Amino acid sequence: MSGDWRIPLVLLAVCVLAAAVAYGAPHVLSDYFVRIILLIALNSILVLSLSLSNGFTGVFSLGHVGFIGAGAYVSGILSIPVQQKMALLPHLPSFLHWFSLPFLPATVVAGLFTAILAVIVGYPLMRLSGYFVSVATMGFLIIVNVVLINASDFTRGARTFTGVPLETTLPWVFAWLGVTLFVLARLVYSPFGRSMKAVRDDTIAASAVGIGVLRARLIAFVIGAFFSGVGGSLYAHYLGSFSPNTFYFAMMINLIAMLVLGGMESLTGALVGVVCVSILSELLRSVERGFTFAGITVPALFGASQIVLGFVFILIMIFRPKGIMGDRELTFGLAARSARARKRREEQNA
Amino acid sequence: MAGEATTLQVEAATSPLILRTRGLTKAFRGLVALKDHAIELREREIMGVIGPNGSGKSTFFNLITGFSKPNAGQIEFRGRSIIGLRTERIVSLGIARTFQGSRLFPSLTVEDNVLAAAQLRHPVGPLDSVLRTARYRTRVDKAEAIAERLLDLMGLTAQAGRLASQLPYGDQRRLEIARALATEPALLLLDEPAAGLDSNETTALVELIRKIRDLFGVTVVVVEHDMDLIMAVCERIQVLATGEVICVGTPEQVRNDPRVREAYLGHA
Repeated sequence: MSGDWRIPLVLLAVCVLAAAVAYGAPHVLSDYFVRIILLIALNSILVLSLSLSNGFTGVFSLGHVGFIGAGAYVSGILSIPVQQKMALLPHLPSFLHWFSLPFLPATVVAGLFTAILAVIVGYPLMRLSGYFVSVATMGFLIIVNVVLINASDFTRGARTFTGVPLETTLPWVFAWLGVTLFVLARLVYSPFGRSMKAVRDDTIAASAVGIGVLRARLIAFVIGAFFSGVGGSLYAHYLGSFSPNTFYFAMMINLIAMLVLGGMESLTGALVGVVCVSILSELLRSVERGFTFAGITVPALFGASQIVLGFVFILIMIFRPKGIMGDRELTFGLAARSARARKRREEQNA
Repeated sequence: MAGEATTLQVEAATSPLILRTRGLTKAFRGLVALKDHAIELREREIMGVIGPNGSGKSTFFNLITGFSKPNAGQIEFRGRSIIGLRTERIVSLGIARTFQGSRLFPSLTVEDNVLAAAQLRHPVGPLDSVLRTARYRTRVDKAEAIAERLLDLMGLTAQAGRLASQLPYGDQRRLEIARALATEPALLLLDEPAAGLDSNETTALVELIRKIRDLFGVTVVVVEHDMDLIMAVCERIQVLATGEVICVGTPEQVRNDPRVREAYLGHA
């Protein structure tokens, strides 16, 4: 077929490397570093799921964390071991008491649940554009939070939800990140992805060339919500215990900052955003405890990391308003599409 | 020369109807933008719609393409009513348009702008895209072949990889026409295609519009202020003033109609 022969090789190498890190890192690195790698990969899934609607389709949703929370709770309820369910969630409907699902099916069910939720929420909301859809989806996030607090038969309310088996390991997160990247890359760089971007650029022109604006937005929103639900499930099985406020404004702002800084219109931009923000905030956190370097002692300045991080955000937005990557992808010169186009043009000239 | 034009008109008059409006009325908060409008378009003809500012020309386009709904009246496209249909449905039935100024997808490349329209007739869903089915490959290839041909026709092949927003204005106008043609329309509506073009570009546009009609067999409606363009390219012209049809005829008839002069120059 057409395309660059190096691409499968590079993909294979990336997979082998990822597998080596996933299985090898816990033996080589300290728990602290393993945790950072895991959180980077996990947040990458969440930020990528956000990029589909917010970056590529121009529907700036502030409600995705609602899907993450819903996914976390659904997966948590499904996978608490049967013996503990009675004690932890005594008022759960009886059909949910009988069984407990393994990690993988619970995660898939969580994703499907949030996807269906996104269809219901998105059908009215995807008619809105600009700020209106942002505020409306934020309303959805608030509703999810209130429901999680008040549906105490299912969620233990504002009390900590606990007892979720700690099964989120590096191989699991890497595998889901691979699936997310694979699906999103194929969607974004396909005719359907082109429709999404056309809708983002100009809804009137998009409908004038026969693109269903509502349909394109809804599909992007629902697929994003699926991976948010999956990410929520991974989060639940990573934390073990959490509360409704784990999945609220703080998480939303964190994810959106990563997305915007990395570049909303690029998949690799989303990854770059997650990696940069995560590493920078960890570095700053260790620095603010105070250190001695070359005889100079810097005292502890707690809170300084947040200030520096905020300052970096401001600088990036001033100098690269479309994020670090903008709408470009990190391809290392291996772009399948441009290679094909170039080939076709060469054939024409010959 | 004159004989050739007459033959064309006779042909046009006998070819089947493609679009008919009757009693079409649209008011915005009491301001009547279009009143009791009627038009009959035949296949393969080039029709001009002219009139002073605010005479209802753009409203006419917006009603036909479903961007706004009429208060009263009928629109029949190939014998079926298209009132109440959504724009994307009307486009898929075979009506395409360009916009005043231009409305390209600025962050997409020139090629992607045309492909975004060409994929209407060769659709691939999200599932096909993720799985890259055999159907995906054949349909993408077909859409790409159409885009390639249209870019070639418009002389935009060399610009295919540039962002649409980086094109010079004249190229943007031709790209918008290419994009409209990529939806494979039977009726093409051009909203002020000569606005902002110099006289050389306008002359080229006259040739281009004829070429498009001959190559694709489409009916073309041109809404325009530029009288030179209208008189040069249109076989029939409808004149609107304050939302009403005041005259329909050949360029010659329209030029000599006293009502048209009055509408443009005011009461003498």
